[in-house]
Amino acid sequence: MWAGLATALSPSAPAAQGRGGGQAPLPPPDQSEVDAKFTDMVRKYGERLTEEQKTRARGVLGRHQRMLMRVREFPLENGDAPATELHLYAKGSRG
Amino acid sequence: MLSEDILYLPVRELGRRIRRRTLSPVALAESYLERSRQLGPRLNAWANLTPELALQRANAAEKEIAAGHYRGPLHGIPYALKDLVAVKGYPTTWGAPPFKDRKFDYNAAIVEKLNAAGAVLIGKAAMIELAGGLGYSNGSASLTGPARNPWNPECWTCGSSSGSGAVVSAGMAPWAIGSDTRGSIICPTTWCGISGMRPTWGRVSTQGAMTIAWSMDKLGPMARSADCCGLVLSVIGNDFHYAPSASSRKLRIGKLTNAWTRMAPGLESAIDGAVLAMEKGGAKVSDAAFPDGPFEDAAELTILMEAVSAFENMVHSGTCAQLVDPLGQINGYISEELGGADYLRVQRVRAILQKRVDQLFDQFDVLATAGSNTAAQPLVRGPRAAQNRPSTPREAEPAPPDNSQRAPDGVSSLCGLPALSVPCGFSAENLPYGIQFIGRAGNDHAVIEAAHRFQSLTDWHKRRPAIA
Repeated sequence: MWAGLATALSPSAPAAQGRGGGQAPLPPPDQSEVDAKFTDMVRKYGERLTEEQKTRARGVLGRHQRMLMRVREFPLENGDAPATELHLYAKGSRG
Repeated sequence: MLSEDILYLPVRELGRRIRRRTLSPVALAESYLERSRQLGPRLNAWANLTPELALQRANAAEKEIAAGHYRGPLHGIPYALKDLVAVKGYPTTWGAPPFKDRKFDYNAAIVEKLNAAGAVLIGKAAMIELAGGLGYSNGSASLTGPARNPWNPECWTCGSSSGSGAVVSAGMAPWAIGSDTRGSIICPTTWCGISGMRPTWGRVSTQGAMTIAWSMDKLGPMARSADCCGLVLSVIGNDFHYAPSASSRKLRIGKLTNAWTRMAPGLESAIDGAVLAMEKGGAKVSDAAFPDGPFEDAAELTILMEAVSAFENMVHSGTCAQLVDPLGQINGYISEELGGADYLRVQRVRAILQKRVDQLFDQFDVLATAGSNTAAQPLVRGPRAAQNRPSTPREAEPAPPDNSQRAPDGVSSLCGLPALSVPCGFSAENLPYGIQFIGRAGNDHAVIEAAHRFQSLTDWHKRRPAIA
């Protein structure tokens, strides 16, 4: 259960953990996305990974997908800008 | 060695005595170093001590002050620095085996500020490897092993500023610098029974500190009291000056009702008692609720995607395989599969969530809730301990997860809000509980003021562990 603590900068970070058990399977499009990502990851890094690590990686990809699903459900309009912003740079400025 | 009563004095009082020359910076540094040599190894609290540097700077401070050149409230006062901040010529390991011998040839911006203020670095505090930047499964994920909690060495300190928490709690330094991307100051502060602050994002320069996630990383003080945190932030913060408020203005506190889905037995009543104390002290308290939204998911995904970029050299070269934690060894490969379009979507959602949360601060000066949903958790024996770190007989167990999208670390870190946690009670096992005050972005004063008022009404922060 704790092994899903993906980027847990403090251990109570909940999103990546605690949702592993008893969940409904991913919808087919999302499962396909997970499968494609897993295949791509193995293509790039498979030689470095044991079978146990690959199994664990597939589980983490599934958790990532559930996070993405919830973020993708959030309604956005065309003009909704990201929180990231361009810092203009000119020589001598603090940028 | 100076007495424990002196070593546990708050920064303001230490400074007062140093300025009056009734306390020697050299004697103070020597005493903290000696206590650190005694207690540090028992707690896995330090990455490295820096005694030569400490005594050099303490001697310089003593001479300057004797000559009438007093630099301010940190002059001559020792501190610890989380080992992800660069100090020229000294090891900066990021808590990770691949960097165990690495030294930088420059000082981080925060170190330059502290040097200018005359503060005395006595060592680099232990930490979770990469501050958890590539993930970790438990508290053993550190080059120096699991940090042990001074209140009970069978318990963990929490992370990732694990050493900073242990150092301050055990009286090995009066204050420390920690870092917080999502909870890494607040949780160890709470579990170790000290006072610690995550400033507003951007308040303190992170130049020269290890990056996990550019849009979420913060450096901040961990100390004896909110007042200490304010003094330190005045030195390390940009555009910030702290002075304890003499105002009798009624503080408006929103007690969060939906931040945690579950809480340890006893903690809820400790929070109720803390809020009641504030109310009796003149604050206006009413219930508050975080708005709906995928806060935790957005925070987690932001960190995953920024971290895999920050640590791309480790991921591409395969040196991540040298990390202690089995999750950290592979997590970069997994996170690389997250796409650019998703990153931008998360950031667009984030901007909307920021506005929703900010509206709360039209009604409240601060929000209040538990610093963590448990007290410190025990180090447990288990099969994964051997798997992770054969030389370490125990592994630290993370806190029980909280499944809410509105856990306060996720909400406030995603939105860059300041927070300050202070002790507010103890469990039946004599482990500290903490209450955190969260403020509007940019309003670091509000969280310091709220916590300082609480500490003027209570004495939980004056208790210390029987570690020696």
